[in-house]
Amino acid sequence: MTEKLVFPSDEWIEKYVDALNKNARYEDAAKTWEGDFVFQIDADGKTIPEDVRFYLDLWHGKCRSARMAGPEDTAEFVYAGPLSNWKLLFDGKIDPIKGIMARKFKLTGDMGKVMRYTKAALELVATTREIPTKYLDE
Amino acid sequence: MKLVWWFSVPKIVFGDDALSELEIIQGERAIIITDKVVNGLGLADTVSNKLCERQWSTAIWDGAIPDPKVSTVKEAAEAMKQFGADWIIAIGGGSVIDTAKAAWVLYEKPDVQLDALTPFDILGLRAKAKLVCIPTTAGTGSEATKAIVIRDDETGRKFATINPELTPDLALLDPTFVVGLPKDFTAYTGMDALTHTIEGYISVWKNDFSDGCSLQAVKMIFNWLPKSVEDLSDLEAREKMLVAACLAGMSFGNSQAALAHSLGHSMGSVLRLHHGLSVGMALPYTIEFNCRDNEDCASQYAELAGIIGITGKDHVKVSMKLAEAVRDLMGKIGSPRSFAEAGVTRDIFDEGLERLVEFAMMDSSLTMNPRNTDSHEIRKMYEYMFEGKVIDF
Repeated sequence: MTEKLVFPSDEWIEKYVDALNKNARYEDAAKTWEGDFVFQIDADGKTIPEDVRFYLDLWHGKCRSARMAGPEDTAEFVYAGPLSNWKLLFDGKIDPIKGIMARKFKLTGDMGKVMRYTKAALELVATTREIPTKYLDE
Repeated sequence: MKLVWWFSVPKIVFGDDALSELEIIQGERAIIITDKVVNGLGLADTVSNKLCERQWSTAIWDGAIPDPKVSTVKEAAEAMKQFGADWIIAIGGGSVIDTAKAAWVLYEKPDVQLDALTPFDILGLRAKAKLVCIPTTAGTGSEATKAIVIRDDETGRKFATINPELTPDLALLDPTFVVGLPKDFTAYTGMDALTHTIEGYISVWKNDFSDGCSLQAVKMIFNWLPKSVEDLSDLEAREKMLVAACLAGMSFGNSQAALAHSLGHSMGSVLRLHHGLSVGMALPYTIEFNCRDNEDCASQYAELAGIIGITGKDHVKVSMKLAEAVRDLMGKIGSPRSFAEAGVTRDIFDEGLERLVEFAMMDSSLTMNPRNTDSHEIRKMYEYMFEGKVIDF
Protein backbone atom coordinates (compact mmCIF):
# COMPACT_ATOMS: atom_id res chain seq x y z
CA MET A 1 0.00 0.00 0.00
CA THR A 2 1.35 3.43 -0.94
CA GLU A 3 2.18 5.59 2.03
CA LYS A 4 0.14 8.75 2.23
CA LEU A 5 2.11 11.95 2.52
CA VAL A 6 1.08 14.89 4.67
CA PHE A 7 -0.12 17.95 2.74
CA PRO A 8 1.87 20.11 2.80
CA SER A 9 5.27 18.77 3.75
CA ASP A 10 8.72 18.50 2.17
CA GLU A 11 7.93 14.92 1.13
CA TRP A 12 4.59 15.83 -0.41
CA ILE A 13 6.12 18.79 -2.28
CA GLU A 14 8.94 16.62 -3.67
CA LYS A 15 6.46 14.08 -5.03
CA TYR A 16 4.22 16.82 -6.37
CA VAL A 17 6.99 18.62 -8.23
CA ASP A 18 8.10 15.34 -9.74
CA ALA A 19 4.54 14.62 -10.93
CA LEU A 20 4.01 18.18 -12.19
CA ASN A 21 7.21 18.13 -14.21
CA LYS A 22 6.02 14.93 -15.89
CA ASN A 23 2.56 16.36 -16.66
CA ALA A 24 2.61 17.05 -20.40
CA ARG A 25 -0.78 18.80 -20.30
CA TYR A 26 0.52 21.22 -17.66
CA GLU A 27 3.66 21.86 -19.68
CA ASP A 28 1.53 22.53 -22.75
CA ALA A 29 -0.88 24.89 -20.99
CA ALA A 30 1.81 26.78 -19.07
CA LYS A 31 4.55 26.90 -21.69
CA THR A 32 4.66 30.72 -21.61
CA TRP A 33 3.86 31.15 -17.90
CA GLU A 34 6.40 32.98 -15.76
CA GLY A 35 5.59 33.49 -12.09
CA ASP A 36 5.96 32.07 -8.62
CA PHE A 37 3.31 31.20 -6.06
CA VAL A 38 2.99 30.88 -2.32
CA PHE A 39 0.14 28.54 -1.43
CA GLN A 40 -1.25 29.02 2.04
CA ILE A 41 -3.39 26.89 4.32
CA ASP A 42 -4.99 29.41 6.66
CA ALA A 43 -4.64 29.10 10.41
CA ASP A 44 -7.86 27.92 12.02
CA GLY A 45 -6.92 28.43 15.66
CA LYS A 46 -7.30 24.69 16.30
CA THR A 47 -5.36 22.02 14.39
CA ILE A 48 -3.55 24.68 12.38
CA PRO A 49 -2.38 27.32 14.86
CA GLU A 50 -0.44 29.33 12.27
CA ASP A 51 -0.68 29.73 8.51
CA VAL A 52 1.10 26.87 6.72
CA ARG A 53 2.73 27.89 3.43
CA PHE A 54 4.69 26.41 0.57
CA TYR A 55 6.38 27.93 -2.43
CA LEU A 56 6.49 26.94 -6.12
CA ASP A 57 8.55 28.68 -8.79
CA LEU A 58 6.71 27.98 -12.05
CA TRP A 59 8.47 28.78 -15.31
CA HIS A 60 7.62 27.84 -18.88
CA GLY A 61 5.66 24.72 -18.04
CA LYS A 62 8.00 23.40 -15.37
CA CYS A 63 8.49 23.85 -11.64
CA ARG A 64 12.02 25.14 -11.18
CA SER A 65 12.07 24.96 -7.39
CA ALA A 66 9.74 24.32 -4.48
CA ARG A 67 9.89 24.24 -0.69
CA MET A 68 7.97 24.82 2.48
CA ALA A 69 7.77 28.56 3.13
CA GLY A 70 7.52 30.82 6.13
CA PRO A 71 5.49 33.96 6.83
CA GLU A 72 8.31 36.13 5.47
CA ASP A 73 8.38 34.42 2.06
CA THR A 74 6.85 36.40 -0.79
CA ALA A 75 5.89 35.56 -4.36
CA GLU A 76 4.14 37.17 -7.31
CA PHE A 77 0.96 35.31 -6.33
CA VAL A 78 -0.45 34.08 -3.02
CA TYR A 79 -3.34 31.61 -3.12
CA ALA A 80 -4.86 31.08 0.32
CA GLY A 81 -7.73 29.28 1.94
CA PRO A 82 -8.72 27.11 4.90
CA LEU A 83 -7.82 23.42 4.92
CA SER A 84 -11.46 22.36 4.44
CA ASN A 85 -11.50 24.18 1.11
CA TRP A 86 -8.15 22.73 0.04
CA LYS A 87 -9.75 19.31 0.54
CA LEU A 88 -12.69 20.31 -1.68
CA LEU A 89 -10.22 21.55 -4.29
CA PHE A 90 -8.12 18.38 -4.29
CA ASP A 91 -11.28 16.22 -4.37
CA GLY A 92 -12.42 18.04 -7.51
CA LYS A 93 -15.52 19.46 -5.78
CA ILE A 94 -14.44 22.97 -6.73
CA ASP A 95 -12.02 24.26 -9.33
CA PRO A 96 -9.37 26.84 -8.50
CA ILE A 97 -11.09 29.67 -10.37
CA LYS A 98 -14.62 28.97 -9.17
CA GLY A 99 -13.12 28.65 -5.70
CA ILE A 100 -12.03 32.28 -5.84
CA MET A 101 -15.40 33.43 -7.19
CA ALA A 102 -17.22 31.56 -4.44
CA ARG A 103 -14.90 33.21 -1.88
CA LYS A 104 -13.45 29.88 -0.78
CA PHE A 105 -9.95 31.03 -1.69
CA LYS A 106 -8.21 34.37 -1.94
CA LEU A 107 -5.77 35.15 -4.70
CA THR A 108 -3.31 37.99 -4.26
CA GLY A 109 -1.49 39.14 -7.39
CA ASP A 110 -2.37 40.02 -10.98
CA MET A 111 -5.63 38.14 -11.41
CA GLY A 112 -5.82 39.14 -15.07
CA LYS A 113 -2.58 37.25 -15.72
CA VAL A 114 -3.92 34.16 -14.00
CA MET A 115 -7.14 34.33 -16.04
CA ARG A 116 -5.07 33.86 -19.20
CA TYR A 117 -3.73 30.59 -17.80
CA THR A 118 -6.81 29.01 -16.26
CA LYS A 119 -6.10 25.76 -18.10
CA ALA A 120 -2.70 25.59 -16.42
CA ALA A 121 -4.34 26.25 -13.05
CA LEU A 122 -6.64 23.27 -13.60
CA GLU A 123 -3.63 21.08 -14.38
CA LEU A 124 -1.81 22.26 -11.23
CA VAL A 125 -4.77 20.99 -9.22
CA ALA A 126 -5.25 17.83 -11.26
CA THR A 127 -1.65 16.86 -10.54
CA THR A 128 -2.34 16.79 -6.79
CA ARG A 129 -4.58 13.77 -7.38
CA GLU A 130 -1.52 11.73 -8.30
CA ILE A 131 -0.11 12.16 -4.79
CA PRO A 132 -1.41 9.88 -2.01
CA THR A 133 -2.36 12.63 0.42
CA LYS A 134 -3.35 12.89 4.05
CA TYR A 135 -4.13 16.22 5.59
CA LEU A 136 -2.79 18.16 8.55
CA ASP A 137 -5.87 17.37 10.61
CA GLU A 138 -5.75 13.59 10.03
CA MET B 1 -24.07 19.64 -1.67
CA LYS B 2 -23.34 22.37 -4.21
CA LEU B 3 -20.87 25.17 -3.69
CA VAL B 4 -22.48 28.56 -3.06
CA TRP B 5 -23.35 30.21 -6.37
CA TRP B 6 -25.48 33.01 -7.80
CA PHE B 7 -27.98 33.44 -10.57
CA SER B 8 -28.10 37.02 -11.73
CA VAL B 9 -30.21 38.51 -14.49
CA PRO B 10 -31.49 41.99 -15.27
CA LYS B 11 -35.11 42.99 -15.17
CA ILE B 12 -36.36 41.79 -18.55
CA VAL B 13 -39.20 43.54 -20.36
CA PHE B 14 -40.43 41.83 -23.53
CA GLY B 15 -43.15 42.20 -26.12
CA ASP B 16 -43.98 44.74 -28.78
CA ASP B 17 -44.47 47.58 -26.29
CA ALA B 18 -41.32 46.85 -24.30
CA LEU B 19 -40.02 50.37 -24.85
CA SER B 20 -42.84 51.70 -22.67
CA GLU B 21 -40.62 50.76 -19.72
CA LEU B 22 -38.62 53.88 -20.60
CA GLU B 23 -41.63 55.89 -19.46
CA ILE B 24 -41.12 54.88 -15.85
CA ILE B 25 -37.37 54.78 -15.28
CA GLN B 26 -36.05 57.62 -13.17
CA GLY B 27 -33.23 59.78 -14.46
CA GLU B 28 -32.30 62.89 -16.42
CA ARG B 29 -29.44 62.28 -18.83
CA ALA B 30 -29.19 59.23 -21.07
CA ILE B 31 -26.41 58.47 -23.49
CA ILE B 32 -27.27 56.03 -26.25
CA ILE B 33 -24.40 53.78 -27.29
CA THR B 34 -24.86 52.28 -30.72
CA ASP B 35 -23.28 51.84 -34.14
CA LYS B 36 -23.75 53.71 -37.39
CA VAL B 37 -25.93 51.03 -38.98
CA VAL B 38 -28.40 50.93 -36.10
CA ASN B 39 -28.36 54.71 -35.83
CA GLY B 40 -29.03 54.94 -39.55
CA LEU B 41 -32.15 52.81 -39.09
CA GLY B 42 -33.52 55.45 -36.73
CA LEU B 43 -33.66 53.14 -33.70
CA ALA B 44 -31.56 55.44 -31.52
CA ASP B 45 -33.85 58.34 -32.39
CA THR B 46 -36.90 56.27 -31.46
CA VAL B 47 -35.51 55.75 -27.98
CA SER B 48 -34.20 59.28 -27.67
CA ASN B 49 -37.57 60.76 -28.65
CA LYS B 50 -39.34 58.65 -26.06
CA LEU B 51 -37.06 60.00 -23.35
CA CYS B 52 -37.17 63.58 -24.59
CA GLU B 53 -40.96 63.51 -24.25
CA ARG B 54 -40.23 63.27 -20.52
CA GLN B 55 -37.81 66.21 -20.67
CA TRP B 56 -34.69 64.03 -20.49
CA SER B 57 -31.47 65.17 -22.11
CA THR B 58 -30.06 62.60 -24.48
CA ALA B 59 -26.93 62.10 -26.55
CA ILE B 60 -26.17 59.50 -29.21
CA TRP B 61 -22.68 58.01 -29.61
CA ASP B 62 -22.59 55.73 -32.64
CA GLY B 63 -18.91 54.81 -32.84
CA ALA B 64 -19.22 51.14 -31.86
CA ILE B 65 -17.53 48.67 -34.22
CA PRO B 66 -17.69 44.89 -34.60
CA ASP B 67 -15.39 43.10 -32.13
CA PRO B 68 -14.81 46.28 -30.11
CA LYS B 69 -11.26 47.34 -29.40
CA VAL B 70 -10.05 48.83 -26.12
CA SER B 71 -9.45 52.16 -27.87
CA THR B 72 -13.06 52.26 -29.10
CA VAL B 73 -14.31 51.51 -25.61
CA LYS B 74 -12.24 54.40 -24.27
CA GLU B 75 -13.85 56.75 -26.80
CA ALA B 76 -17.30 55.68 -25.64
CA ALA B 77 -16.31 56.16 -21.99
CA GLU B 78 -15.09 59.65 -22.80
CA ALA B 79 -18.43 60.44 -24.44
CA MET B 80 -20.23 59.24 -21.30
CA LYS B 81 -18.00 61.46 -19.18
CA GLN B 82 -18.43 64.53 -21.38
CA PHE B 83 -22.19 64.12 -21.32
CA GLY B 84 -22.44 63.25 -17.61
CA ALA B 85 -24.84 60.38 -18.22
CA ASP B 86 -26.93 58.89 -15.44
CA TRP B 87 -28.28 56.17 -17.78
CA ILE B 88 -26.44 54.31 -20.50
CA ILE B 89 -28.66 52.81 -23.17
CA ALA B 90 -27.00 50.27 -25.45
CA ILE B 91 -28.88 49.66 -28.70
CA GLY B 92 -27.32 47.04 -30.95
CA GLY B 93 -25.83 43.57 -31.15
CA GLY B 94 -23.22 42.00 -28.91
CA SER B 95 -20.42 44.31 -29.97
CA VAL B 96 -22.44 47.42 -29.13
CA ILE B 97 -23.63 46.04 -25.80
CA ASP B 98 -20.13 44.90 -24.85
CA THR B 99 -18.77 48.32 -25.82
CA ALA B 100 -21.34 49.96 -23.58
CA LYS B 101 -20.62 47.61 -20.66
CA ALA B 102 -16.85 48.03 -20.91
CA ALA B 103 -17.13 51.82 -21.36
CA TRP B 104 -19.44 51.90 -18.34
CA VAL B 105 -16.62 50.38 -16.29
CA LEU B 106 -14.17 53.06 -17.48
CA TYR B 107 -16.73 55.83 -16.99
CA GLU B 108 -17.21 54.80 -13.37
CA LYS B 109 -13.64 53.67 -12.70
CA PRO B 110 -11.23 55.32 -15.17
CA ASP B 111 -8.17 53.57 -13.72
CA VAL B 112 -9.37 50.04 -14.47
CA GLN B 113 -7.29 48.12 -17.03
CA LEU B 114 -9.84 46.28 -19.13
CA ASP B 115 -7.51 43.42 -20.01
CA ALA B 116 -6.91 42.88 -16.30
CA LEU B 117 -10.59 42.95 -15.33
CA THR B 118 -11.54 39.75 -13.55
CA PRO B 119 -14.65 38.20 -12.04
CA PHE B 120 -13.27 38.99 -8.60
CA ASP B 121 -12.88 42.78 -8.86
CA ILE B 122 -15.21 44.99 -6.85
CA LEU B 123 -15.95 47.85 -9.22
CA GLY B 124 -18.62 49.87 -7.47
CA LEU B 125 -20.61 50.40 -10.66
CA ARG B 126 -23.88 52.38 -10.60
CA ALA B 127 -22.44 55.30 -8.62
CA LYS B 128 -22.78 57.38 -11.81
CA ALA B 129 -25.09 55.50 -14.16
CA LYS B 130 -27.26 52.45 -14.75
CA LEU B 131 -27.37 50.34 -17.90
CA VAL B 132 -30.25 49.48 -20.24
CA CYS B 133 -29.68 47.10 -23.14
CA ILE B 134 -31.92 46.90 -26.21
CA PRO B 135 -30.69 44.12 -28.51
CA THR B 136 -31.04 44.50 -32.27
CA THR B 137 -29.90 40.94 -32.90
CA ALA B 138 -31.30 37.71 -31.54
CA GLY B 139 -28.14 35.98 -30.49
CA THR B 140 -25.69 37.77 -28.25
CA GLY B 141 -27.55 37.36 -24.99
CA SER B 142 -25.21 40.05 -23.69
CA GLU B 143 -28.27 42.00 -22.52
CA ALA B 144 -28.70 39.30 -19.87
CA THR B 145 -25.10 38.53 -18.90
CA LYS B 146 -22.23 39.83 -16.84
CA ALA B 147 -19.80 39.01 -19.66
CA ILE B 148 -17.86 41.19 -22.07
CA VAL B 149 -15.61 40.35 -24.99
CA ILE B 150 -13.13 43.05 -26.02
CA ARG B 151 -10.24 43.03 -28.50
CA ASP B 152 -6.73 44.12 -27.68
CA ASP B 153 -5.61 46.91 -30.06
CA GLU B 154 -2.08 45.63 -30.48
CA THR B 155 -2.34 41.83 -30.56
CA GLY B 156 -5.89 41.58 -31.86
CA ARG B 157 -6.59 38.94 -29.20
CA LYS B 158 -10.17 38.90 -28.02
CA PHE B 159 -10.40 38.54 -24.28
CA ALA B 160 -13.56 37.53 -22.52
CA THR B 161 -14.22 38.21 -18.90
CA ILE B 162 -17.10 38.34 -16.47
CA ASN B 163 -17.82 40.48 -13.49
CA PRO B 164 -21.00 40.22 -11.42
CA GLU B 165 -21.55 43.98 -11.51
CA LEU B 166 -21.75 44.01 -15.31
CA THR B 167 -25.23 42.47 -15.41
CA PRO B 168 -27.38 45.22 -16.96
CA ASP B 169 -30.15 46.80 -14.89
CA LEU B 170 -32.73 46.43 -17.61
CA ALA B 171 -33.09 44.51 -20.87
CA LEU B 172 -35.79 45.60 -23.30
CA LEU B 173 -36.71 42.95 -25.87
CA ASP B 174 -38.70 44.66 -28.63
CA PRO B 175 -39.08 42.50 -31.76
CA THR B 176 -39.39 45.54 -34.03
CA PHE B 177 -35.74 46.32 -33.20
CA VAL B 178 -34.52 43.10 -34.86
CA VAL B 179 -36.65 43.25 -38.00
CA GLY B 180 -33.94 45.03 -40.00
CA LEU B 181 -31.36 42.30 -39.45
CA PRO B 182 -30.31 40.75 -42.79
CA LYS B 183 -30.48 37.04 -43.54
CA ASP B 184 -26.83 36.10 -42.93
CA PHE B 185 -26.64 37.94 -39.62
CA THR B 186 -29.96 36.45 -38.53
CA ALA B 187 -28.43 33.04 -39.14
CA TYR B 188 -25.06 33.75 -37.48
CA THR B 189 -26.53 35.42 -34.41
CA GLY B 190 -29.06 32.60 -34.10
CA MET B 191 -26.17 30.13 -34.07
CA ASP B 192 -24.54 32.25 -31.38
CA ALA B 193 -27.67 31.80 -29.24
CA LEU B 194 -27.71 28.05 -29.88
CA THR B 195 -24.06 27.78 -28.90
CA HIS B 196 -24.69 29.75 -25.70
CA THR B 197 -27.54 27.54 -24.67
CA ILE B 198 -25.81 24.23 -25.42
CA GLU B 199 -22.53 25.29 -23.83
CA GLY B 200 -24.37 26.68 -20.81
CA TYR B 201 -25.93 23.25 -20.35
CA ILE B 202 -22.69 21.24 -20.43
CA SER B 203 -20.38 23.75 -18.70
CA VAL B 204 -18.82 22.38 -15.52
CA TRP B 205 -20.28 25.43 -13.78
CA LYS B 206 -23.83 24.50 -14.84
CA ASN B 207 -26.61 24.75 -12.26
CA ASP B 208 -30.34 24.07 -12.06
CA PHE B 209 -31.28 27.65 -12.87
CA SER B 210 -29.14 27.85 -15.98
CA ASP B 211 -30.31 24.38 -17.03
CA GLY B 212 -33.94 25.52 -17.04
CA CYS B 213 -33.11 28.42 -19.33
CA SER B 214 -31.08 26.20 -21.68
CA LEU B 215 -33.77 23.56 -22.12
CA GLN B 216 -36.39 26.11 -23.15
CA ALA B 217 -33.97 28.00 -25.38
CA VAL B 218 -32.88 24.87 -27.29
CA LYS B 219 -36.49 23.99 -28.01
CA MET B 220 -37.28 27.52 -29.21
CA ILE B 221 -34.15 27.95 -31.35
CA PHE B 222 -34.57 24.71 -33.30
CA ASN B 223 -38.19 25.65 -33.90
CA TRP B 224 -37.94 29.36 -34.66
CA LEU B 225 -34.47 30.02 -36.09
CA PRO B 226 -35.22 28.47 -39.52
CA LYS B 227 -38.48 30.43 -39.68
CA SER B 228 -36.83 33.72 -38.76
CA VAL B 229 -34.22 33.20 -41.50
CA GLU B 230 -36.73 32.02 -44.09
CA ASP B 231 -39.06 35.01 -43.64
CA LEU B 232 -37.18 38.02 -42.29
CA SER B 233 -40.45 39.89 -41.70
CA ASP B 234 -41.99 37.13 -39.55
CA LEU B 235 -42.47 39.14 -36.34
CA GLU B 236 -43.51 36.13 -34.31
CA ALA B 237 -40.34 34.26 -35.25
CA ARG B 238 -38.29 37.37 -34.50
CA GLU B 239 -39.89 37.73 -31.08
CA LYS B 240 -39.42 34.06 -30.22
CA MET B 241 -35.76 34.17 -31.24
CA LEU B 242 -35.23 37.37 -29.23
CA VAL B 243 -36.62 35.63 -26.14
CA ALA B 244 -34.67 32.44 -26.86
CA ALA B 245 -31.42 34.37 -27.23
CA CYS B 246 -32.06 36.13 -23.94
CA LEU B 247 -32.81 32.81 -22.23
CA ALA B 248 -29.59 31.43 -23.69
CA GLY B 249 -27.78 34.46 -22.29
CA MET B 250 -29.36 33.84 -18.89
CA SER B 251 -28.08 30.28 -19.08
CA PHE B 252 -24.47 30.72 -20.11
CA GLY B 253 -24.24 34.05 -18.28
CA ASN B 254 -24.63 32.11 -15.06
CA SER B 255 -22.85 28.88 -15.94
CA GLN B 256 -20.37 30.13 -18.54
CA ALA B 257 -19.43 28.94 -22.00
CA ALA B 258 -16.95 26.23 -22.93
CA LEU B 259 -14.71 24.93 -25.72
CA ALA B 260 -16.77 26.13 -28.71
CA HIS B 261 -16.34 29.66 -27.39
CA SER B 262 -12.59 29.27 -26.90
CA LEU B 263 -12.28 28.03 -30.49
CA GLY B 264 -14.67 30.72 -31.75
CA HIS B 265 -13.10 33.65 -29.90
CA SER B 266 -9.76 32.73 -31.41
CA MET B 267 -11.29 32.51 -34.92
CA GLY B 268 -12.67 36.02 -34.46
CA SER B 269 -9.30 37.30 -33.30
CA VAL B 270 -7.10 35.71 -35.94
CA LEU B 271 -9.34 35.39 -39.00
CA ARG B 272 -11.77 38.21 -38.19
CA LEU B 273 -14.76 35.92 -38.68
CA HIS B 274 -18.14 36.95 -37.26
CA HIS B 275 -18.58 35.83 -33.63
CA GLY B 276 -21.81 33.91 -34.17
CA LEU B 277 -20.48 32.29 -37.34
CA SER B 278 -17.32 31.25 -35.44
CA VAL B 279 -18.80 29.79 -32.27
CA GLY B 280 -21.62 28.24 -34.31
CA MET B 281 -19.14 26.56 -36.64
CA ALA B 282 -17.21 25.22 -33.64
CA LEU B 283 -20.33 23.89 -31.91
CA PRO B 284 -20.92 20.52 -33.63
CA TYR B 285 -17.20 19.67 -33.51
CA THR B 286 -17.17 20.52 -29.79
CA ILE B 287 -20.17 18.26 -29.17
CA GLU B 288 -18.45 15.40 -31.01
CA PHE B 289 -15.22 15.97 -29.09
CA ASN B 290 -16.73 16.33 -25.62
CA CYS B 291 -19.14 13.40 -25.76
CA ARG B 292 -16.41 10.83 -26.44
CA ASP B 293 -14.55 11.11 -23.20
CA ASN B 294 -17.10 12.14 -20.62
CA GLU B 295 -20.25 10.12 -19.91
CA ASP B 296 -21.81 12.89 -17.81
CA CYS B 297 -21.36 15.32 -20.65
CA ALA B 298 -22.71 12.82 -23.20
CA SER B 299 -25.82 12.32 -21.09
CA GLN B 300 -26.30 16.09 -20.91
CA TYR B 301 -26.07 16.39 -24.68
CA ALA B 302 -28.53 13.49 -24.88
CA GLU B 303 -30.97 15.42 -22.67
CA LEU B 304 -30.77 18.35 -25.05
CA ALA B 305 -31.18 16.04 -28.02
CA GLY B 306 -34.33 14.64 -26.45
CA ILE B 307 -35.87 18.12 -26.55
CA ILE B 308 -35.72 18.03 -30.36
CA GLY B 309 -36.87 14.43 -30.61
CA ILE B 310 -33.54 12.58 -30.86
CA THR B 311 -33.56 9.70 -28.42
CA GLY B 312 -31.60 6.53 -27.74
CA LYS B 313 -29.89 4.58 -25.00
CA ASP B 314 -26.32 5.16 -26.15
CA HIS B 315 -25.57 8.73 -25.06
CA VAL B 316 -22.51 9.07 -27.26
CA LYS B 317 -24.47 8.06 -30.37
CA VAL B 318 -27.30 10.44 -29.40
CA SER B 319 -24.76 13.23 -28.87
CA MET B 320 -23.30 12.56 -32.32
CA LYS B 321 -26.82 12.82 -33.75
CA LEU B 322 -27.29 16.11 -31.93
CA ALA B 323 -24.13 17.40 -33.62
CA GLU B 324 -25.56 16.19 -36.94
CA ALA B 325 -28.82 18.02 -36.22
CA VAL B 326 -26.86 21.19 -35.51
CA ARG B 327 -25.05 20.79 -38.85
CA ASP B 328 -28.40 20.23 -40.61
CA LEU B 329 -29.76 23.40 -39.03
CA MET B 330 -26.66 25.32 -40.15
CA GLY B 331 -27.10 24.00 -43.67
CA LYS B 332 -30.74 25.05 -43.68
CA ILE B 333 -30.06 28.62 -42.51
CA GLY B 334 -26.83 29.10 -44.47
CA SER B 335 -24.33 29.27 -41.61
CA PRO B 336 -20.90 27.89 -42.63
CA ARG B 337 -20.06 24.44 -41.26
CA SER B 338 -16.37 24.56 -42.10
CA PHE B 339 -13.59 27.07 -42.69
CA ALA B 340 -13.78 26.22 -46.37
CA GLU B 341 -17.51 27.06 -46.46
CA ALA B 342 -16.72 30.34 -44.67
CA GLY B 343 -14.36 31.26 -47.50
CA VAL B 344 -11.13 30.79 -45.55
CA THR B 345 -8.50 29.56 -47.97
CA ARG B 346 -5.92 26.92 -47.07
CA ASP B 347 -3.12 29.49 -47.18
CA ILE B 348 -4.85 31.86 -44.81
CA PHE B 349 -5.80 28.99 -42.52
CA ASP B 350 -2.25 27.62 -42.41
CA GLU B 351 -0.83 31.05 -41.80
CA GLY B 352 -3.14 31.63 -38.83
CA LEU B 353 -3.18 28.15 -37.33
CA GLU B 354 -0.48 28.66 -34.69
CA ARG B 355 -2.15 31.82 -33.39
CA LEU B 356 -5.56 30.15 -33.52
CA VAL B 357 -4.26 27.45 -31.19
CA GLU B 358 -2.35 29.87 -28.96
CA PHE B 359 -5.33 32.18 -28.43
CA ALA B 360 -7.77 29.31 -27.88
CA MET B 361 -5.48 27.87 -25.20
CA MET B 362 -5.47 31.25 -23.42
CA ASP B 363 -9.24 31.62 -23.52
CA SER B 364 -10.82 31.36 -20.09
CA SER B 365 -13.87 29.47 -21.42
CA LEU B 366 -11.63 26.38 -21.60
CA THR B 367 -11.83 26.25 -17.81
CA MET B 368 -15.49 25.31 -17.98
CA ASN B 369 -15.21 22.64 -20.67
CA PRO B 370 -16.09 19.19 -19.35
CA ARG B 371 -13.42 17.37 -21.36
CA ASN B 372 -9.79 18.15 -20.67
CA THR B 373 -7.91 19.17 -23.77
CA ASP B 374 -4.52 20.39 -24.93
CA SER B 375 -3.00 22.35 -27.77
CA HIS B 376 -2.47 19.24 -29.93
CA GLU B 377 -6.16 18.34 -29.80
CA ILE B 378 -7.19 21.93 -30.43
CA ARG B 379 -4.93 22.07 -33.50
CA LYS B 380 -6.45 18.82 -34.73
CA MET B 381 -9.96 20.15 -34.15
CA TYR B 382 -9.21 23.21 -36.26
CA GLU B 383 -7.86 20.92 -38.99
CA TYR B 384 -11.08 18.92 -38.94
CA MET B 385 -13.08 22.14 -38.97
CA PHE B 386 -11.25 23.27 -42.09
CA GLU B 387 -12.36 20.21 -43.99
CA GLY B 388 -15.70 19.72 -42.27
CA LYS B 389 -14.77 16.29 -40.93
CA VAL B 390 -16.65 14.68 -38.06
CA ILE B 391 -14.45 14.54 -34.95
CA ASP B 392 -13.27 10.99 -34.29
CA PHE B 393 -10.78 11.44 -31.45
